[in-house]
Amino acid sequence: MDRRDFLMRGAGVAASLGFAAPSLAQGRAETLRVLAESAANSRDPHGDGVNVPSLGTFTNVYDRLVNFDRSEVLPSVYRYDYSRLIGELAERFEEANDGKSLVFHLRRDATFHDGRPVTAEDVKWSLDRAVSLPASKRQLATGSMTDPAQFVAVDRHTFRIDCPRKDRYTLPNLALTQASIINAEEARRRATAADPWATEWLRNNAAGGGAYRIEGWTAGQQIVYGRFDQWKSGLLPKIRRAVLQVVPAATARVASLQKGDADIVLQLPPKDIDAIATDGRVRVASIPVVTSFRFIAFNTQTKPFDDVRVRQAIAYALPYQGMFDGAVFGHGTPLFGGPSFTPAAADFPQAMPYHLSLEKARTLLAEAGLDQGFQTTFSYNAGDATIAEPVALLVQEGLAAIGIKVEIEKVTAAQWATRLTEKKVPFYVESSAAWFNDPDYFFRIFFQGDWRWNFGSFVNADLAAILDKARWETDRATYDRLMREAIAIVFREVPVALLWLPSFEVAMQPDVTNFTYYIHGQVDFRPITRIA
Amino acid sequence: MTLAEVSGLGVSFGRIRAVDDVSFTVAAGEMLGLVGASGSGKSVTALALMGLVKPDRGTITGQGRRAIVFQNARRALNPTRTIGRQLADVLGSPVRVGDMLRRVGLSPDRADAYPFELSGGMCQRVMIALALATDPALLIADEPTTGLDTTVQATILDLIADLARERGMGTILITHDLALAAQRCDRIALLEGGRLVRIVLPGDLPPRPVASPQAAAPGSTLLRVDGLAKHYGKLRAVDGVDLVVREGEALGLVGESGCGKSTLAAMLARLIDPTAGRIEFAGEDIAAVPARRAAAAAWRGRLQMVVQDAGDSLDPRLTAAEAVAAPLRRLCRLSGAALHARVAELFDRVHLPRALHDRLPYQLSGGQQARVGIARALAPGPGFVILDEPTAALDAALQDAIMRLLDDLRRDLGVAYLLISHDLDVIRQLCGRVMVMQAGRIVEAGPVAEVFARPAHPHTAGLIAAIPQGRALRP
Amino acid sequence: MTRPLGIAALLAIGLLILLALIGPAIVPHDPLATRVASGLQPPSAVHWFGTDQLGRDIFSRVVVATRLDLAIAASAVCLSLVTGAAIGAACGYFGGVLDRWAGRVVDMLMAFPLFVVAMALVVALGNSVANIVYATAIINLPFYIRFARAEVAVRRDAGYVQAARLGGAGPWRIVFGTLLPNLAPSLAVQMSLNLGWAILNAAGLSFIGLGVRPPAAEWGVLTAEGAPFLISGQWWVAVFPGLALMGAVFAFNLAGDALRDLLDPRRRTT
Repeated sequence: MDRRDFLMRGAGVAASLGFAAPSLAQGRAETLRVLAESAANSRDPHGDGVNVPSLGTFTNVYDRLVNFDRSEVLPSVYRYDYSRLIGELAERFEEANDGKSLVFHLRRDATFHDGRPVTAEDVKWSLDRAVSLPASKRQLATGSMTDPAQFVAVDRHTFRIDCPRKDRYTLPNLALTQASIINAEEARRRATAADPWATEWLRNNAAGGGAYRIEGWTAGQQIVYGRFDQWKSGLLPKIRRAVLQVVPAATARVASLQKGDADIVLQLPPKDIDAIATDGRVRVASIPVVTSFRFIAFNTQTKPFDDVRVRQAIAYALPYQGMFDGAVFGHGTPLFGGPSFTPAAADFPQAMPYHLSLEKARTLLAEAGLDQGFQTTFSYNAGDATIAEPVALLVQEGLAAIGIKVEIEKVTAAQWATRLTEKKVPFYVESSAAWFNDPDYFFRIFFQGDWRWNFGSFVNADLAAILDKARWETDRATYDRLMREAIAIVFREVPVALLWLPSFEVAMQPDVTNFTYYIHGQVDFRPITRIA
Repeated sequence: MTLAEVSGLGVSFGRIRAVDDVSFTVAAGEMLGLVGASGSGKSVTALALMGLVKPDRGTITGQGRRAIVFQNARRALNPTRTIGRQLADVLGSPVRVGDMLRRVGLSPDRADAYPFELSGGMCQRVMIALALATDPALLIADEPTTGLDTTVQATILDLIADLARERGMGTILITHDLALAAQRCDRIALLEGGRLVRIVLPGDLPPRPVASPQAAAPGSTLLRVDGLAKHYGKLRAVDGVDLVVREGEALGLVGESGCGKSTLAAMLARLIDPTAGRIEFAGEDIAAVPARRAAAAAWRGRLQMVVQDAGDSLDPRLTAAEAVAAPLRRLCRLSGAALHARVAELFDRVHLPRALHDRLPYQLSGGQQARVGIARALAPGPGFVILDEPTAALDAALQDAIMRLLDDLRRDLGVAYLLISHDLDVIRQLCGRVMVMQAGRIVEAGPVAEVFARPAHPHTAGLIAAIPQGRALRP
Repeated sequence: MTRPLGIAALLAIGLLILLALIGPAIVPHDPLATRVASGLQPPSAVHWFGTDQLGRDIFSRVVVATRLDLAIAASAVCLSLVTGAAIGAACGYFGGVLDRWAGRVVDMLMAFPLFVVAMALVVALGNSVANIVYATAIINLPFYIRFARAEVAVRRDAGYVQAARLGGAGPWRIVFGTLLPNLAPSLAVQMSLNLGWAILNAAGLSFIGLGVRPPAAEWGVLTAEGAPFLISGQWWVAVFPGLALMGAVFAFNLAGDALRDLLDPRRRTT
């Protein structure tokens, strides 16, 4: 290309840009750029090994029978309301059969992305699939949904679920992405004898009817969403086009936002939150989260942590305030220093009655015969280092004061899950979350069972009995009483020492409104608007 | 016509007076010799004449251009340019390059050669051509024969003399070899310690004392060599050599550089392995042991060698005493007081003062280094010592001293020598028998007096003819 | 290379060694003591380099880190030098099979970017300080092997080597007793130049999380801890350890240059 050509072409490009500029400016009100530290790894809502960002994809690309309603927690910032459910694919729904059945009346005008109308057949096929594939099955089982026989397509637009007993977890489970409705005909076309549920195809292809279609997918880097203009399951979204971009370094995400190259930024580092909040260019929304928690766990089945006195001693020796300030800069709700070993309320998590008292710690250790102290390892996930490392350093320093010599072990992210599942980590810091707010749900996941979510490997017969009763208890007062007993057991036995409830922070451009927080912490594009 | 007049010249480097009150003149058509030991100030005087150093006293006057030919021609030439280019640089154009080369006896198609492709003698000729290219009135030749074989030395000096005569140049010949100066120069200025001793005519010089070796009583055969050969691929460095050395005798080995004498010496000393042949030392076949294991052999102490270039042969890290002690420790297993005593004894034998015990090699003069090398070789009490060019890098005065020392040692200790040298005079003074080597073979052998008086082989004749006449051979 | 610069470098190294030896005893604050309430304070009269996220005094940590960094670098370089020089000298003297195979291993090693090799070694051998030392030593080996080999090859036919053989010294005694000691001055120069690089290497490995574990103070780790804070304005957490690192490497390189000039004026770079 010679110089003349180059100049000509350059002029052509400049001209076309000039024409494009006004239309670009117009489009800004209808586009959204989101930056996150990782991207979805699957398009199959019932699939195995899906990561948390994938839940955001499912929310936008698929519909469910129902969804949680929302309430405003900050000016034009909303949070889902666990106690109220509204219809999504279902126009309306009701109980039947003494509450043992739920009947859903589907919208007549809803279609999938390929134009095919949504029918009860699709709903049945999707939920059959959900209770057949292991990951979604495990979740839906907590709502008494286990068997395809429970799902009945009464007619084209009526669908019924039958449960053995009335279960208050059935309906909320249907609002989770694990109960997403898939375009059955399109998926079935890709099913094979070896793969009847088309898991291979659905991992890499979306067959949904949600408010957005996937227009571009660069694995691990970027996802482009385009609005499905025929979406009927709610108010048509204002955002026509949304881009989710992976920018692993938190500081880079923040910088982009401040420069104006991004609209919403997730997973903010705690130290930056205050700095950004005072920066007038962007807005930070800080939403307290009640279903996730940060804690330090003991393996109660190994020495010396099998002795409750040792666990209590450590619980009295942890530098709680220091950790809260040093690791998350005070962002969150403390779960230490609670008033009493006898809980007044039945909700969970709530503050444990431990606080920093080296005297009590030493006494307890002496009772346990370990007044000389001992040596142990304290581990954390390298991927969690931003918060976990300061915690580890402070724990090491704090426990040294009562004679416990702590060696810090940093475990690679890839190995962390395996190590926890194998119960090979005696003493560590982690955080976790539950889908539902009910305390018995919490306890059944985190304080019993031999899976990795029983972080303390806790086994207690009394607690097991209480939880069995509470699961089906419909009387509020009895339920609360049972739960208070359960909480008292956990306070006393301290299989995990609670540290704090994290808060969820998101930073956005000031013109972004109606951000709605769901339990998965991903961005739901559907309600978002931009003030021009 | 006086070309240059030096009057009261003084040159200092810091506190060192390199030249101190030197005066002489040089006339057109004459050759003046500047003679003295190393350090006597001859080269510095030449540099002052060329304006390359600034005198701090005295005057230098004269007319006409001056040119200088340095020692060690190959090092003085630019290794990355062809000689033709270097000549052209000086001449200003490539036109006369061919002529200049022819004039110094080189073929013009050598113009494209690089210095490393030429022999030492050829490089010296190129240097002379470069000097002549400036058309000087005065030519200074600083040790022009260093590193050259005797025959080549003669031709170079002849060339300089011819060119001087042809162009009416004056020449200054700087050398440490008094005999050489006596042969070639019209007048000789003797320098010592930076001062002019006197200016003499060649005829005034006293004749050199000649010592003839006493006929040694023939002892029994110590070393017998049969058919020794060393081939490097196609190159036959040593091509079938037989020789015999008797106890207590001194055998000389002469030849030009490249004839294979050093290779032969290295094989005899068992530093390298022969390709073929047998070496029998005191009845034992020492070629059977490979060279890399020779250090541990039982006979190692009895067969020693004084390595060429004494300076290089001393480990820079070891003091003189330590260098001499090393073989004593290793081969004689001496230590402590016995070791110290033997080292002291050896030092005395080679006339090295005790004060030099703890000196490092760089603190020793050339002559002192040579003596340390000899003491070290004699330390384990060998019956046979190979001496490879023991006097090559030394001044005339030092050469005498070392030769006398070697002679005395041989008589006192009964050691046999194989003395390798290109200097026939050295051979004549020290050895009873001599062998002449050419192209890997021995071409002549016999008693020294006979071989030198009536050489049978033309090569030998050539070598003898090249000896400077000042060292007249007396029968 | 001017003399004042060389002297300054030697003084700087002297200071580093002094800090390494007595640093932990003279620091104003306990490098491990946390005080979260005074976290992320800028440099002040009390905390000369400011404090980090957990309130630890950065000046004290930087000074204490000197010992660890110098110890790692020095051990690695010594290990490398001794092993590499021995192997290289043997290769240069004996040639043959040893030389061929050693040459191949060295070439293979040098085909990779050496830092990547160090990373791979630490990951494979296990995450510990000792393994950082070994990894750094291994990637430095080619340098010394080649150097020693070349120097010995030049000297193996020298007169004094022949004289040593005549004096009864066997090949191994010649390599270790005569040739290697003669290389010692040049090796010392290489060592000094190498130390700077070794410090950087160790810091680099720690920066990416290999080797040194918290709460140990080491310049690479300190810089890594401080990196996220640069953009939010708390520059002192990363900048001071980084400067210390830079200063140390610079000082060793200058000193190496000065040593080299001292030993061989013909090789001066300026």
